[in-house]
Amino acid sequence: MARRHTRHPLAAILGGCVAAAIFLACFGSLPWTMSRGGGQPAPRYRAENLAAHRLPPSWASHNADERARRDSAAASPSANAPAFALGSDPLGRDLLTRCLAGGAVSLGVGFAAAAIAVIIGAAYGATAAYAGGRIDAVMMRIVDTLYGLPYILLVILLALAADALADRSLRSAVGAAAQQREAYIEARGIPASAPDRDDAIARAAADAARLYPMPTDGARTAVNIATMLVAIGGVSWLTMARVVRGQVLSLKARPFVEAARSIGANPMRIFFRHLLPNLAGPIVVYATLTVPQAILQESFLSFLGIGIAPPTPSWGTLVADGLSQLNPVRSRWWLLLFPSLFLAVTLLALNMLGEALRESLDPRRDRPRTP
Amino acid sequence: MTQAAALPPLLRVEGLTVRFPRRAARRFGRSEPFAAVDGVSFDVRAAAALGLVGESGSGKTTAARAALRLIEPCAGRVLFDGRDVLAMPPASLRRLRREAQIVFQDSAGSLSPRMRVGDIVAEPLIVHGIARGAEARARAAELLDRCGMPADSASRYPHEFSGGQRQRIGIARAIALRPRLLVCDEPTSALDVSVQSQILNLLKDLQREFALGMLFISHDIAVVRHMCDEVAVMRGGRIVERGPCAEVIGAPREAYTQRLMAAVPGLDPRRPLALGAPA
Repeated sequence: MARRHTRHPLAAILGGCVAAAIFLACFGSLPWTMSRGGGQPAPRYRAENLAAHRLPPSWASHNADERARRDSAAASPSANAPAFALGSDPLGRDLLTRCLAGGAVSLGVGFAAAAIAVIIGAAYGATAAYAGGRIDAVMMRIVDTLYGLPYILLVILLALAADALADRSLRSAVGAAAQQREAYIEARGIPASAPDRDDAIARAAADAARLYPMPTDGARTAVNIATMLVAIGGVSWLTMARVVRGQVLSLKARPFVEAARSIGANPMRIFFRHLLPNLAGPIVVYATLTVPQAILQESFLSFLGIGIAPPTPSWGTLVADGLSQLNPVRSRWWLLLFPSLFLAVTLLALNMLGEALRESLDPRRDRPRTP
Repeated sequence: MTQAAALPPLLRVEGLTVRFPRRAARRFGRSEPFAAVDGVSFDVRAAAALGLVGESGSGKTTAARAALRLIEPCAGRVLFDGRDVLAMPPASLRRLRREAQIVFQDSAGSLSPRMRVGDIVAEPLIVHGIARGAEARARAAELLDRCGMPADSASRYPHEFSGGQRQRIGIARAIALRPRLLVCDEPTSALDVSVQSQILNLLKDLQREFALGMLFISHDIAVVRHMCDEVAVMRGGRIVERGPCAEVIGAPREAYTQRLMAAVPGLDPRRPLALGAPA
């Protein structure tokens, strides 16, 4: 029973540190990426300066045209402090800013989806194993059935349905705002014979616009992200349920559970005091490995165009955008390379951390690994 | 002895039968369930020890677990202190758990690996609402001390202890509720000989101290002779011979018991070891 620690402590530390650094960078920079800089109307990650389109990273070589556009962008008074450390995209948006904001979206979706998967999966698997018999059989057949469904299909359906709902509510909100504006202008009661009638109407319209702003598509973005969460979480919990069920079944047969029954402990106590502490290890390990999986799925779906909708960035959409900019004449390599690097390094770090945790926490660590 | 025999027994088991379904034996037709325990009857008297001996798979452990209703028997009657154990509702069963405790064979497996030893021993007290918090901790420390564990053991985990020490922890947990019946399910078979005798002496001391009725399961005749007043021999789910220790072990009547006794290695150098069963 000697406690063997991971064989690669360096990998665990490195993975943990890199993952934590990326996490902190993406979430810590949110106030900056979400703020409006340089008098722009939109958040920094969206601000567009079309003159500065497709500029290479500031440290890479520029040709004459790019140099000219870079200098004019820097001189422009409305410029969004475009340092272009990682270059800019076809709409002149700073790639670093978009990578950071996209990272917050990807990581947020990944962690939240993993949390959903862990909670649903652990509860479901433990219930099935604890109930046993016919209930267990039915519950696990449901899992098998869901496993069999192609999840892409599920996600597309979910995304379409959610998008339609969001669309309808947004449209009705826009319609309501327009009606309110009209009513406001009517209420001003500008006489048809007034000499400066057009001016008066314009002033009234400006007041109305100030009083009744049109709804932004923020709600739609929120629905979009929530759909991704539900879709990915709803798919990932299946494996978690199986893992936890297996663990509970094997723990249930261990003598200490019978010993607990023999002292008169009730099933709730047996579950929370005797089973759950032994489940915590595998659950933590599996949750750590679910996070990169969920991030990858989010990026994959966004890459296909059914995930996070533009203009909200995510690593997947950024990679997809970058790929479309590769062409034989002039490759904008930075648009593909940097989002991919962010994604790959994060996935690698999280997987290293998860594997190291598995090695040190998994109760089966003393057994030889089966391939 | 006669006076004690006149009293009703602490635990009376009559015609106890446990059947397990045979798996995948036959696809079609009725598959006969396997009777692990088949009409077993025995009595355990208060403050006395009954030994249950027999070879592996003879149903000793199953009979004991069914008698405590840790598994549900198919037929038979179990009376604990005159109360019908098999008909008990959950509330009375909980009360039974206070009075009848068990020490398991697998000392490592029967202790929760992620609980501290002090919590393990205090758990029965907490479950039955006898003590909580600091008082439960103090009682647990007392019990551990009584069972010969070092003073700092309460804050450590089971895997830090040797097999014999773990069995002491299991015994401390079992006697925490001051039971009247203690089932010992081969408590020493997984231990080496020097540790065995310490554990046996501890159990014997505790039996005397708390006037425990004891059901002692073992396949080791020498251990049973040391521990028990009476002995019942099991084979294939049935009891083949039952009686006072001296009679059954000294002068076995049944052929199976004779062979079992002959299989015990003797210490007489002139007598060859009779390990195999004579034809």
